[in-house]
Amino acid sequence: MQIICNDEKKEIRPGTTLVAFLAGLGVKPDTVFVECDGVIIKRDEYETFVLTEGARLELIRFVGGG
Amino acid sequence: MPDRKEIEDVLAMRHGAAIQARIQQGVVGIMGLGGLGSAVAVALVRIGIGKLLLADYDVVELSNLNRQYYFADQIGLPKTVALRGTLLRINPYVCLETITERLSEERIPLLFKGVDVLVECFDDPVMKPAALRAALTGLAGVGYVGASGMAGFGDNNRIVTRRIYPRVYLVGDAEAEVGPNQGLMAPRVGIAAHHQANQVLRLLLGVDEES
Repeated sequence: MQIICNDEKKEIRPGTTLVAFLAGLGVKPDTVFVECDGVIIKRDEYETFVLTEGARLELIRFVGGG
Repeated sequence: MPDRKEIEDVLAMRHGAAIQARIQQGVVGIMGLGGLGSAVAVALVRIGIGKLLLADYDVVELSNLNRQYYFADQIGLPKTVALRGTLLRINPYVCLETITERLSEERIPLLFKGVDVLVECFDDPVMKPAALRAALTGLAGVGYVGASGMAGFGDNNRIVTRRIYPRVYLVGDAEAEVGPNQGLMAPRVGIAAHHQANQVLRLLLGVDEES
């Protein structure tokens, strides 16, 4: 099935959780801000949040330094 | 020593009276007083900001002096205390509130309720998205200026300011993190900090445009 991540189509398996999807991208879950279909996802929901067909994800990755 | 009115008059003359009146009413929270936050605070006090809330849990270390607005004689002081001292040397009448604690996603909305603009200047990449979530969910409508990616000596012009939501901005190149031969250094961290400071100013003056 397909989702849209930062305006790009991505093919994923049904049942994929947000944290698994992020791992597939090589992104550390603690360093990314996630919005799905316009809703901000809390960090403690990443493990249980299941992506559904056609979901629109917006990811903002952060790097350290300040 | 100049008195309060002398300082205010000079700023109004330099910046324009109507603009200065708005700056002087501005209340800004700065989360993290490292290379970004200390420079943002200095820039805002120089232009006559009304009030700053300054938050950091850390103390000044020798290794901070390559980029942070502290001095050798301040090593060992809490950053909130050291920076307060420096800012009061620029303007003895500026209103400063210091928060000497480690911030968390839960505490941010409580500590910064009522600010016009919140500036995210953390070093820790975990606190950056946490602060953005805290602001968007717990401080609806607040102006926000975060930062990500300013290590090393990469191209000046890859440091940009992006508008991600109304009144919410991120500064940086989004990728340059600390690594071998890519330390945090005063010049490029300073570029990012001053992008942040100018964006705060724009928000205080009511400018919120797509770039």
